[in-house]
Amino acid sequence: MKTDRNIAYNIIYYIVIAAIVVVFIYPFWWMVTNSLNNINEIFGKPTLLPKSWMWENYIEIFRVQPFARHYLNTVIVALLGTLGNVLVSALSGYAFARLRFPGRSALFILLLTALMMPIEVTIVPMYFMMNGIGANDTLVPLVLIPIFCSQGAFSAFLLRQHFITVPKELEEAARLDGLRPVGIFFRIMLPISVPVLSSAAILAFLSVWNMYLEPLVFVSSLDKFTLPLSLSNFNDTYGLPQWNLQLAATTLSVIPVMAFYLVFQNKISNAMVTSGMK
Amino acid sequence: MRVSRKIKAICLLLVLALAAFPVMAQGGRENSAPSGPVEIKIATWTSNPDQIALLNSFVEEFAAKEGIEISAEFESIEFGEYNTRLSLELQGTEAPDVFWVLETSAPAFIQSGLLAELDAELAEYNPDDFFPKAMELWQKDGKTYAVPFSTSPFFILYNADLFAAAGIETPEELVAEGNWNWDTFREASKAIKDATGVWGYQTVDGGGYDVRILHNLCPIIRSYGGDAWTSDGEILINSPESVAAVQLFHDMVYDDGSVVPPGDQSNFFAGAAAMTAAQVSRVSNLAQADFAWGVAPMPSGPMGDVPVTGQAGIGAFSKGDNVEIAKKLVAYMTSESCVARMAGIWPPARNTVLQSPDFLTSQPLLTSDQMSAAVASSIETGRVLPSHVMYPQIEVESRIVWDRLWTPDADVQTVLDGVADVYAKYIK
Amino acid sequence: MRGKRSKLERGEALTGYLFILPQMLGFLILVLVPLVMIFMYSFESRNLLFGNMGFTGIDNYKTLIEDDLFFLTLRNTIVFSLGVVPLNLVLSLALALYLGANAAGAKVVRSVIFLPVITSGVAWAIVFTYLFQGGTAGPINYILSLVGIEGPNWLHEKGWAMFAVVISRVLKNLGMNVLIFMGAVLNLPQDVLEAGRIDGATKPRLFWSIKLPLLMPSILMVMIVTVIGSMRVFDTIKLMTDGGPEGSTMVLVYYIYHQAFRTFNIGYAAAVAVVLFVIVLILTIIQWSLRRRASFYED
Repeated sequence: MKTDRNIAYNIIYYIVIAAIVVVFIYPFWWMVTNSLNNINEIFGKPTLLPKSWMWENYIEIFRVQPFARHYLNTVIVALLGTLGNVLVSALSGYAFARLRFPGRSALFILLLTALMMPIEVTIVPMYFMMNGIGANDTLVPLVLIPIFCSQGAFSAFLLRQHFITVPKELEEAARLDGLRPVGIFFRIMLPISVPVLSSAAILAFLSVWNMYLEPLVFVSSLDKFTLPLSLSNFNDTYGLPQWNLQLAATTLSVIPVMAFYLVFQNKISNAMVTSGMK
Repeated sequence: MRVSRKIKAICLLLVLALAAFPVMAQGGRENSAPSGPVEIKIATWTSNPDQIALLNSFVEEFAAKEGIEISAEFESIEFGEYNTRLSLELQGTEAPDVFWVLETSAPAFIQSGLLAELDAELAEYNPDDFFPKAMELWQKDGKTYAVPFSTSPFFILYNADLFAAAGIETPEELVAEGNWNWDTFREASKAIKDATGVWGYQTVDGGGYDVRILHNLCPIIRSYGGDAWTSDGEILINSPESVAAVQLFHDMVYDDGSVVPPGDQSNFFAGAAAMTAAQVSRVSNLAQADFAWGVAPMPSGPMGDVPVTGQAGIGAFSKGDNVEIAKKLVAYMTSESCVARMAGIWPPARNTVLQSPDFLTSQPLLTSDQMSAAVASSIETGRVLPSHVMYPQIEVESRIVWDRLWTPDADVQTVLDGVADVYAKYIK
Repeated sequence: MRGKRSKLERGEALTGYLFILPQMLGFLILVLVPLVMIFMYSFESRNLLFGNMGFTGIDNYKTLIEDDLFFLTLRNTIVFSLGVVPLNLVLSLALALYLGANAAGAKVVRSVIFLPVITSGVAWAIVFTYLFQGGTAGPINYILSLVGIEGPNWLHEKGWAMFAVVISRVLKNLGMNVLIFMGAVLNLPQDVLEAGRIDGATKPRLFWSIKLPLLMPSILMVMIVTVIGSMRVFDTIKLMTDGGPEGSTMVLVYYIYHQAFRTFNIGYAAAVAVVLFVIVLILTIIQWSLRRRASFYED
């Protein structure tokens, strides 16, 4: 009797899992197969495999737009933005958690206002500011925003919460060994915080990777586009989307990150799981 | 001691990091030595390489004529984002010197002072040759702020194979019989859908339900005797004539089910619709078409033939670094010689070019009879779409009301009354 | 001794200021200054094409009060959040609890469900625009037609459009929350759960009385992030519906973009942005005070 129920539970369990897998894989499957179709086939009856295997779609996208350049731009912005974000917020997160200085809590609460402030609120004046310093139509705003705006504050918050939980004894011991705060930070705190730092980095990377409004507003020349702009720009002269090319480009934009994730997924998941985000 | 060294190191690192940004910012920009070629940036919404090459050849000729060196940079902005992106760029350091202007935003751009006055430069190239009617939109208080490089009537492209498959008369045959009107158009569209299962009609560039709603509806509305609004501010969108015209289109979509519906991407040029409204510039899309096709004027209505043209202008940025050269360049690019060479893509607003025998053969894909019937005859008499300084606001706000039309049981009169209310807010 | 100590303290304070300097400097320039500017803009008649046409007092706010579209936008934003947040929270928590953290199935689901998270929002929205095509051409409608249901023209019918946008958004972000909740479930103190089981607590009771309170800090954290994220939805709306049909998916953020960069009313856009700021501020204060109450291990 009991085993019957267990078997039933198991069956349901696997059905649930299969359903989830199908729901989440199908959009990608559909994207890849149709990136190999011609325009008309995309809107025909959906099939599981491409109908005409048009590999030339993947060559065509580099002809229509400087797609490789867009890729490079995105990688540059993502790397600099992520690196800057983690470095800047690790410094401030540690200071807010462990160093005593007048005005510490007040400044931290002030910083938290950035955490909840959507970039959409301030993007208009920011546009004019960037204009003032000649940074419009460069990648500079796209690097600065993830470092200092809400994602930056978020990382600082995350890291502060983490540094608070590090046992004080560790610091005391280091202090007795003659290390000053700077030394403690670099030699003790950073090395033991790799999981949290990497989850902050992952989140920062994702926020840069998803940026769409920011490049839309700050970047205008075709050679400074990032991938999200590039993907939404696969249109012919009169604004009609070139659907198959758009899907091919979308596939190319997804695959490397996905490959990276699948290779390192245990590390990534563990970083996220154990960082104790709460 | 050690600490302060570390602190110094950190400071140095931070300074370096901060310094890196301006450097990066500079990296993207080329240094323009004062003696080098003049840099002219030209913004357009075409990304067609042949069309860009043609425009670039004009720039080179102009440079040779003036005896200067010009390095031209062409920027193609997606049509749907054109106004937004152009307006943003015009505020910044990378503003184009010369740019195309959409007809609907002409009044706003002129009023904003972003366009330089061109009359002095145009004087060199026989400005009286332009049809006064075609220039109206681009002038204010007797001064010219942009020049229409394209005055392009809308016409019907049709897929002859699908008409043959349905066994019905083609639009060109109906024109010959004098029987090409909105009713026979509607019947043809439905007959094709019923007989072949392929859509009968695709709206202009597939945008007839949203971004190109007036391009889609105005030809019908005007040939029924209505209009959106007139230049003296009379709102006619909810007049009985306009309502009858919009009702026809609505019924084609929802009663007959013969028009590519909202959100469906079926495309005439890919063979997935039997007819579409288009302009000469779209004909090049048919170069590789694997079906036989033909051209006919827009169907006529109770008011007869009322051609509608779409215009596009070219202007010079009034605050650009090279505004004097840019103004001369714009004038040159709309000279008779240049206009004649563009004519097969963008029909001219110049009388001499239109009258010249070469015009009718300027588009290699169209016969001179087709060119004459569908294009030439409509240019001089065609009217552009209504425009207004507040057009961007009108467009965004009215769109929300227009959307109510796209349901099977929409009441056309009520919806158009709503649209008229929005128009009335801005048009006086 | 005392002198040395205070010197040490001064040194620590100095290091502290140095450490927060980059962050606070960036915060000042890129967050506080624009925030002050947006308030100023909202009292001006500012236009992208025509420039600043002067101080107009509260005119923009008066327009706001009379702007039906603004209130529609406000309503849509709330509807969107009410759609996304509970659906996302309940689904992700349920999945995390149902799957546990270490079973084989859980690992598969964890990977698969995370794929949309690492896909850029634009790419996801593009794919879902196709999936939600009307007629039978769209894959979703095709699948529905196999079971005899005639699907709507999702993105072009009022009501369905918002539904479609909510679904695509929930699927996009679910993975992150599942991962966070799995982490939280893994970190549940096993001895407490064991004690509960020994005391004979039923499964629902174990969940409501022990697990849920222990998970509360995580839930609130995820909620804050999800709520604010849902207020910021932009790419999905822009690419899938452009705010239509009939403005039924026009949300605050997209309205700001529309006003500022499509119709060039910078001043009016600023007033709408101020409203968005106030809303987010209120939401955050509420959530943080809940968080303080719910979490015991914060300082």
